[in-house]
Amino acid sequence: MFFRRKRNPEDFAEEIRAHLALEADELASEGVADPQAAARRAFGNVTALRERSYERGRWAWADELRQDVRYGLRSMRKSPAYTAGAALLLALGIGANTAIYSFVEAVVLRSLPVPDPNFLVLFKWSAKGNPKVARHHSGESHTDPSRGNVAGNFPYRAFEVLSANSVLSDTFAFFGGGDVTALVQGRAERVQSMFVSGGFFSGLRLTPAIGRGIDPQDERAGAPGVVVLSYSYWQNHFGERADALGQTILVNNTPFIVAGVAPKGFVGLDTSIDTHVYLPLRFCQSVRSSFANVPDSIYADNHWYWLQMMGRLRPGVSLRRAEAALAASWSGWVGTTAETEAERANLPSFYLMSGATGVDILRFYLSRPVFVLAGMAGLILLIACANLANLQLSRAAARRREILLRFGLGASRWRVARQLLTESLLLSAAGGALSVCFAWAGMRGLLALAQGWQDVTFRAELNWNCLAVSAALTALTGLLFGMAPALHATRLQLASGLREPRIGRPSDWLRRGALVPVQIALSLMLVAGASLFVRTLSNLRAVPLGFNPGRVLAFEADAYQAGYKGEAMVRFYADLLDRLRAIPGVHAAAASSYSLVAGDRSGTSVSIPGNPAASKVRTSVMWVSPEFFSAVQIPIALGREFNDRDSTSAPMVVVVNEAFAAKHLLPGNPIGQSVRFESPGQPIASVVGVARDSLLHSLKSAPEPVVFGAYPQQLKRLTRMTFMVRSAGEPLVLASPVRRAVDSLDSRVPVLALRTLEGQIGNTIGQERLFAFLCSVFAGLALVIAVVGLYGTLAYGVSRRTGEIGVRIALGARRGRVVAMILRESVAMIVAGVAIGLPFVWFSGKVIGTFLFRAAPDDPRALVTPVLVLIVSALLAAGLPAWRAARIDPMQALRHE
Amino acid sequence: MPTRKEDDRVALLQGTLDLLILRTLLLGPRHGQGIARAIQQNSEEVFLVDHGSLYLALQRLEEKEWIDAKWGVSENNRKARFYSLTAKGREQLAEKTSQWRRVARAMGLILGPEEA
Repeated sequence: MFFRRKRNPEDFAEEIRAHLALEADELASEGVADPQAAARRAFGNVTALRERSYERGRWAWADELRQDVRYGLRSMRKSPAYTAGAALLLALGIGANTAIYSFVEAVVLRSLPVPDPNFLVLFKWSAKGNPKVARHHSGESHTDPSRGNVAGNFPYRAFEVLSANSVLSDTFAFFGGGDVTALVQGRAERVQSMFVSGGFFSGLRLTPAIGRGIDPQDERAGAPGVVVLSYSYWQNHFGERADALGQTILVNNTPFIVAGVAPKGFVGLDTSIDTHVYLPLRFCQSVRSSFANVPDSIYADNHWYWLQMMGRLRPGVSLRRAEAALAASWSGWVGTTAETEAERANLPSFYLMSGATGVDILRFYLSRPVFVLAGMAGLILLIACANLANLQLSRAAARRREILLRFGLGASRWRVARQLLTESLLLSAAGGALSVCFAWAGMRGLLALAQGWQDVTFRAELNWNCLAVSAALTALTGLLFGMAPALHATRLQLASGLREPRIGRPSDWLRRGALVPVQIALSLMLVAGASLFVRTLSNLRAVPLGFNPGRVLAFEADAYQAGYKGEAMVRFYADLLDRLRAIPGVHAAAASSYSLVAGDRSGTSVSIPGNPAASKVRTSVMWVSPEFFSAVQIPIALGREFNDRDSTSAPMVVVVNEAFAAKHLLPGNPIGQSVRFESPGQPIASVVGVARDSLLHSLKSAPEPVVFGAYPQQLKRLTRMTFMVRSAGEPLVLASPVRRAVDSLDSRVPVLALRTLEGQIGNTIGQERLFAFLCSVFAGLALVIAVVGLYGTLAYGVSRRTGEIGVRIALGARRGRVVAMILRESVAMIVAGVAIGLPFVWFSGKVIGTFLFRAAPDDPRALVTPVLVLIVSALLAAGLPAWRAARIDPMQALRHE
Repeated sequence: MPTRKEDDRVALLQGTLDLLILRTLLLGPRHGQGIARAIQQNSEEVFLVDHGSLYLALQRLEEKEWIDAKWGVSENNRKARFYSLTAKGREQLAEKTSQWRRVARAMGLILGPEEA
């Protein structure tokens, strides 16, 4: 219909000419004077007819769009510097946002790579505080503002009870076993494990790459132990060969037969950790070292909360319905496990969460920080848009005559506005295309910076979603900064505009300068944020540790996983320490049950005989090697530290820190007092030393009471130890000698998590580091953009008012007054910007409050530096045009017309 | 300053103009100026065709393939584009003619006989 037999315009023009000739002939034959003119009069408006014929059946808007685009491209080519600068600015802003969006998606939005993830549900419970009925808890818990204390770990029996309820189509259980030692083809390696029930692979609808998944038959007592490998593990160690099936690998010294390989792309249920091996649930207690010495079966203990569970909803059954059914089963069962009134009073309540994103720990911890980062990037983009809008306005003002001419020739306001908008969109399209490079670079940079942030592997990638977001941002920014000049152009008046006024109206360009305060306000937010984050970081770095982490190399070794037990393990570790001390360049070596300031802690319950106030109190505990305190340089205030005489058979001794002594011990000399451990057997130890307080767990918490014990005297819980080696020089130089020392002792025990102690402590503040760095970069960028914008506006204003200023100077105004006049206007913009910005700074301070450390966001002193920085930079930017204005030669100015 | 729209006037005449053109071409091919003259004369100067609308109508009819066009030479050796009816055009002419006659008869019945 539209393109069928369109008339060639030239042909039509010729037909009209022929018509006019024929008509003229006839009129001439009728005796009409001047037949050509008469013919034309009779015909009417030839041009209008040709136009209407041309427009018939064509989409006028498509034609006009093509015109606009061609015109826009031409004007972009005419000012290449401006186009390049604007495109670059936009590319930075859009690229930064896209890069951060890729993180948002990886952390918050991405579902599990399984079929129908939205049908999956995660089992959780909530309670006020710690429910007493959960006597042991292996897993993570956190506080949800609406529910209280929440966690996802249940007793084993609960799994049996809840899976008997048929409201879900599948129910399966799993437990993240942490790292284990896998011995494959003679090589020992640390891998991440997960213990799963028989319904795990079928519940997730996973199709194994080869072989099969863990089946219910593997859960029968006495069935052979099987293992399912992850795809990447199979790639790396078996070269993707099918003969991997049936081979035996040793996991923590227990043999397992490879039964299958998980599908490619599935890396487990916890998005932060790649799982390498999947083992049947019934091996969890025997294989996992930290469960090793638990006296009772964790499967039978109704008070040991460890197992995580997920299920799949039946089609048509809502999450709430399933939750109600399962909650009924749960509350019926958990009530029977409570043995005391205290336990019955605070029973955990069951609830379901969507399991589409797997186990949600990462999302909980990281979603807010990631959104804060996204907010920062968004601010940059807004500033860039404001800047560009300003620039576009100035350019549109320079094209006033052209626009008014077009009005005079018959263009509608909407038509002209559309053309200006198209130019802006073209500019933003150029920036958007360029932004892909910046987005990629930014994402890579963020990944590198985020190393050590929560110890997580981020799977951020530039996929189609990110590109779609990028395109949307491009269009949005184009509209945002194109709107201003387009609207302004439509308000121009015809008659007065065509005349070039000698005197620039101040109100006119001040209105154009209205965007500068906005930029200043936004920059103030970023600068204030940067100053807060930098202060937080320096505060954290200045926290006194209580020990000396300098030049210390740390690593972990787990002899338990290689088969050592009890006394043999003690001898192994003692031998290892001797070998470490023998390495040239080593000043001291020591071991502890976990590392200082690594986010770990271990607690136990103790009582002080004779002190009724200190009965069954929970305290942190750490088991260390002889000469630990001198190795890490924690001063001993009283008494002594452990030595070789504190062996397994010797009387039990402990060293406490000053905080513990002050809080729990009886008044008087701490040395010689007793501490009773409330664990089976209730061993009593005597205090032989008091150490100065040191940080145990994190930089952000105050020193807490700690009991130190000698590790040979606690065989039951002894498994993995963290070793610290203080070197004379650069610690990483000792990396290979240390590996050789461990390997020479026993090649089945790998060196795990080799790092410097300073690096490890630094990683605990990885998020603060990331924020401080990024926000400072963004703040710097914002400041540059805002200052350039201010300079541009003022310079333009001065150039427009050259005539007026020339007149003033000619009439006797002193140069100083001219400078003051220009500066006054800039000060007005700066003050307006700061005034607008302060409430937003206050508001955003509330948002980022949880990420700060000893830096109060509403402290007025905190705002002084950012405001000063902004004012000084802005004044510097204003200074140059003001100085130039003062140097205007009145003769030149008046001649410039 | 948008251009004036003449579409209201044209809309009324569109249907009638098509019919007039088709009828004029029944007797043989003509060029555009000839069609305009013919309608003017045959209607005893009642219908004064606007040439612009005429050509737009001719384009419309050509697109619908009711008429055909070819460049040729006129009586006084001027180049001109001649239009002729197609078979489809003849059918349309017959249909529109009977429609129009029905309408005219109905009008006559309503208006009653002409007052002397």
